Amino acid sequence: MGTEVRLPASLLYPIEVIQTFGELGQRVSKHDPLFKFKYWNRVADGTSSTEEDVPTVTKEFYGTFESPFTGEIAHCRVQTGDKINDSETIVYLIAEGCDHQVQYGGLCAICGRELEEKDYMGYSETQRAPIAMSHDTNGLTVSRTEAERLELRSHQQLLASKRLILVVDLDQTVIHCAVNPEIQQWIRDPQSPNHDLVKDVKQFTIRERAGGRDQNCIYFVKVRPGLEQFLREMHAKYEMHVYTMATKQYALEIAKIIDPTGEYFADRILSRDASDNLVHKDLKRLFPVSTRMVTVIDDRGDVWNWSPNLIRVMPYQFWSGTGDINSKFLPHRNGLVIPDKDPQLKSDGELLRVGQYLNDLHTKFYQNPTSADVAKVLPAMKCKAFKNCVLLFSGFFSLDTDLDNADIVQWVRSFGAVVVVDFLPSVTHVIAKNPGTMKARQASGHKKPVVSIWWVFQCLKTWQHVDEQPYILEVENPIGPESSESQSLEIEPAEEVDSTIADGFMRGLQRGEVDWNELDEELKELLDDEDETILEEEDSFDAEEPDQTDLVPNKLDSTKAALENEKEPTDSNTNSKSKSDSKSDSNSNSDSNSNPDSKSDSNSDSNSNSKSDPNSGIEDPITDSKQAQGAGSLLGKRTRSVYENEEDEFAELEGDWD
Amino acid sequence: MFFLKGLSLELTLHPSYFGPLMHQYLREKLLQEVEGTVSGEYGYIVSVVDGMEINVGSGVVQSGQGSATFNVKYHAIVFKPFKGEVVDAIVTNVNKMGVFCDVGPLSVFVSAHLIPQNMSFNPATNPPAFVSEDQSIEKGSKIRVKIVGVRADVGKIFAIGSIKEDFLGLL
Repeated sequence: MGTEVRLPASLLYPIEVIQTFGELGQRVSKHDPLFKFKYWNRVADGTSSTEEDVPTVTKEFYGTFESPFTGEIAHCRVQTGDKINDSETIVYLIAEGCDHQVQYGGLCAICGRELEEKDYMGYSETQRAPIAMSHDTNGLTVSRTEAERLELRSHQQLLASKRLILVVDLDQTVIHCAVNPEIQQWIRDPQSPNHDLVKDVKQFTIRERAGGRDQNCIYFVKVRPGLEQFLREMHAKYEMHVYTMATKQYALEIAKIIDPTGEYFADRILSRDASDNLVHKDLKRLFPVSTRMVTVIDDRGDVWNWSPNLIRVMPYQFWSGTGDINSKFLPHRNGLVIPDKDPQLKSDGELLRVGQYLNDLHTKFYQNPTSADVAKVLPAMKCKAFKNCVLLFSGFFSLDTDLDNADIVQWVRSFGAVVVVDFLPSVTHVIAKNPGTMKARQASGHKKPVVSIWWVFQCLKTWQHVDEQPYILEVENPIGPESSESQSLEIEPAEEVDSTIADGFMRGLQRGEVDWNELDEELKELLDDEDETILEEEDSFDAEEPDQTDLVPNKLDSTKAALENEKEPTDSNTNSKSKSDSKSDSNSNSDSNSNPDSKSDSNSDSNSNSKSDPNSGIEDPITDSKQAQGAGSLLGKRTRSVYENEEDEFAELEGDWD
Repeated sequence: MFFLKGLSLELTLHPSYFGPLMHQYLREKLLQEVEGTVSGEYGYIVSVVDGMEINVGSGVVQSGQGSATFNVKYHAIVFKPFKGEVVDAIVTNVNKMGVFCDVGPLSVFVSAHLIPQNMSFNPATNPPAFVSEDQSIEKGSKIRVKIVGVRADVGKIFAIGSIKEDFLGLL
């Protein structure tokens, strides 16, 4: 047994061994010669005088390979006359007293020897321990073998105590933080209309450099409802770690708030300061060998590259207008579909739900603890939501959006859905922003359900395939299979090809032998290849409608719709649209009556929609003031709107609270 | 190990300081510049011994500048860790790879390999600790450590410790 010695990659291969030194068991010091070799290189033969065309000849050279470290020769794999072709070949095994598997600040943490960064042979002893797997930047690194040993041990401990590992993101996952100084006044002044809302907001001060000088920055932290209970319950089943893109200082302050005694997270806090990467989070940073017992909760999927271990939670938005204050380093998200006013905020039960999923995950994992892998168990649980679903989004992205980068697409894919870019007979659901789009009409003609985005969110939230009925959008002017064919023939002769492929796909689907990912790729490629003009044509179809329909709320209650009809400058088309909408709305209302949950959802939905709808024609001072505000000053807006329309807005805000 | 060491430092003083308080300025400047610093040769300069003479000597005016350079001689208590030295330390951080502890300004890492076999890391306790049947090394514990390796870097000294020998470990 000994350390493997390989040749440096910088040598000119092949080389031929011409003489070996040292016998088995002989002690060699660093830089003692191990063998001599010859190699060949092309060099100028020295006859030419011009610089461009130098004639070269192959010449033989000699070199010596020296022992990269001190030890005893345990095994010699080369003999005189051997040819070595690459740097992968193990030439010697040298037994050392210590192989420096754990290193700290340029020292071996086991034998205490000082280690060289690099010697003239290009051999670096610090390279033996390349993995930094601790939570902070303390300069501690370990080798792969050591990392495996450490993880094996921690897995054994976890298995023995029947626990798993949960990595928790901070901002917008378990807390929401804002820096607006106005909040301070709300907290101090009991007369302030917002006082009740913010009285349990925690705050801390961090001295930081901004604009070239130090200043105190006060952070206001709202803890997500149910967090304490969530952490307490999870603590029994999960070893919890914090992984945040915020600074170390910030993370520690937050930890003090959500975990004052340190019993949940202890020192397991990884911050931006210790993260290798400013834009991505990687489980390999903490668990370099195996992530089979690790799961993550985060409000962003893209930073995790949609890791299969990820449970993406609905972002927690308490301070309206303030996003994630620590995300300025992160890349912008494409194709992000987040509801303007998410009805789930009415009573943010997200942590309760996530807690249940984590409990289920734990149960499922420990049905087969020796071989189960969270990266397989978790997707299997999630895939119930969109099993065998082929989704088509309509009206959400601009045409040049790459579906692979679109947030919502990645999200539904992680729940087992297949997303296509164009209407195909195999599509099972069309998610339409408004019912008038080309795709929605095509789908309706093919008797495919056209549903609102709320159906998708409901599925993503519940991890179940929710009944589509309450979310069905009624489509006018459906384009039937026949008309669609005739119509599309005019603009798109390639439709035939599409449908044959799709038919084959459907047959495959029925037989249940479909590789979804592959097919998805294939479809996308195919569709991307097609003539651009088709897409443009369709665009114009899409563009025709939205002006009238886009902003009409899907589930506007009938009185408001009627009001709107009166006030709207009369355009017969618009009128009929609105009527149809109010019709569909009464549908959904009657449905939701049987289901108290969805009722509250649809109510709040219509509420928010009507408010954010600039075309609604209803005089609404709140809307105006809302629109006048920039995104950054929404907090100010909140105060104002409370004064202006105290009852309504307050009821809404109080809802947030529960 | 602590030493009382005679050292010297070149200080440059602006002409505006020349006057009756010059010695006091030099003294303050000296304390500011050296106390708390670390060098590979002498280790940490813990404190300049004030009671002993700080010899400012006579300054030399720089040609063309007007400021004067003084070669200040002083005595200081220095702390230099040595391989093989046994020190008492306070634990600052415990993780699965080992224990970090402080010996004054010096941070020492004790790898799990150099902790007795009968102590094992337990992540479930609060705070996390290395525990044996009757002992627990956690944040804040006092331990006796033998230094097995030292390396000086710019402004910092790294040290590796061991408690895997007789009479070492929890105090």
